[in-house]
Amino acid sequence: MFISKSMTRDVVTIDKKANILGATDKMINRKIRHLPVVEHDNRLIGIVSDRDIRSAMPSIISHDYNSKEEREKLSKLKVADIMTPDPITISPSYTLQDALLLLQQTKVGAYCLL
Amino acid sequence: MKKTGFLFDKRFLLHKTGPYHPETPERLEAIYKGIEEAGLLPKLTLIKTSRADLKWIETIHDKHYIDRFSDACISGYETLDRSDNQMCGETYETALLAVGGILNTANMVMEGKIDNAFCAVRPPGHHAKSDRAMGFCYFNNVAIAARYLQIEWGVKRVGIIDFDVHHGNGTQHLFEHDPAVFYYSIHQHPSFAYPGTGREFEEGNGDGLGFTKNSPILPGQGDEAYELSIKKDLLPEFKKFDPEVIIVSTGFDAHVDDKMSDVNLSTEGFSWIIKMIFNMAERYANGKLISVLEGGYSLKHLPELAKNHVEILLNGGENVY
Repeated sequence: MFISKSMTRDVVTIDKKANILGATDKMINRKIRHLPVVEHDNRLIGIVSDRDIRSAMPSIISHDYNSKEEREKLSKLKVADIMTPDPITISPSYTLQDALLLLQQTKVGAYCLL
Repeated sequence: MKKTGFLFDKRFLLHKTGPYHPETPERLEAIYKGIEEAGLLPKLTLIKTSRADLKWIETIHDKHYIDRFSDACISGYETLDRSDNQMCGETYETALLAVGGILNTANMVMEGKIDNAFCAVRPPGHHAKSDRAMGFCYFNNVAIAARYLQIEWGVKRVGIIDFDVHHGNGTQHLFEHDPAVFYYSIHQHPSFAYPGTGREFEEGNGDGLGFTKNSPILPGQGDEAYELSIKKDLLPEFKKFDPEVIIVSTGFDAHVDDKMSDVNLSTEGFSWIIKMIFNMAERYANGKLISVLEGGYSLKHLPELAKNHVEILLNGGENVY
């Protein structure tokens, strides 16, 4: 079976200038864990995952977690600062086997299809 | 006209695989017939074979595997490692003769006695691993030839092009860490064909990263996909790599009428491929090209495919580069 049969077609993307709190909201609302990051002309430039965002957040056991200053600091952090640039892309003509083997080899959680 | 060598020996027919196996002596007889009946034999330099020195086999294969193969033949075993590797008491000696003939061919090419050659040998080799027989293959003929050129002739860059319809997993894995050997294969997509390897993202490992390239072709895609992939994937890589000698794993099993595949390559498509390889050998390797038979199972079409192959080695044909 080809990957084009099981890919997500209605792709939710995020602008590189969006802040990471906006990205978090988008992921929670759409129940997804990866967002392709695009330029203003919709050109793919990166990918951001829930893990990238968690890594950028302060630890919940940190004393200043959720403080006003911390939230202000986070609101200035852009998606482009934490994304993985130049993500691995695959072709819709890849088979599911191709994609699974590549996931295993590259140890990433999602691919963009071009 | 080129000085083209032709390796064939009746003893290559002694490797028998039983009544229901596709890799038969008749394949080689069909190939020989096609070349003979086209009147090409007088134009070719006939190459003699001889039993290969085991030291060259051991540059690629594990000594215990070589002994196991030899013992299996002596003991009358009908298969080695897997049931598809059908053999007889003569298989081991035939495999040694095939390698020996290819090494003689390599010597003649390097000495300038011939420009290029077609080695019509059995058993085939490109699936054979260092320590295991696979896919009708026992000794990896092409890999041993590449290693021989490196060691005996000091060749720094060997280019291998494999257009058998099945991925040459054995050859790829043997050289995937070696930046001195570039392995390119074009084959039916591994999700739809044996042996299930040869995906686009297999590009070598360690020092050899970037010296392996695969073009998997989806079923039904035919000549256009082959031309497109070779132009997109192989040409730029060989331009960078600049091979001193090109060895070809020649399989005729991508043919539209071959029951072993579904990629629908036409007879003209095969001619285009070998013309392109001939052009590349002229451009980079001073014409040095050693073509070694792998698969191809259509007894009806093998004579014409082999005849066309040899004619192009002799005359080149138009420049398709």
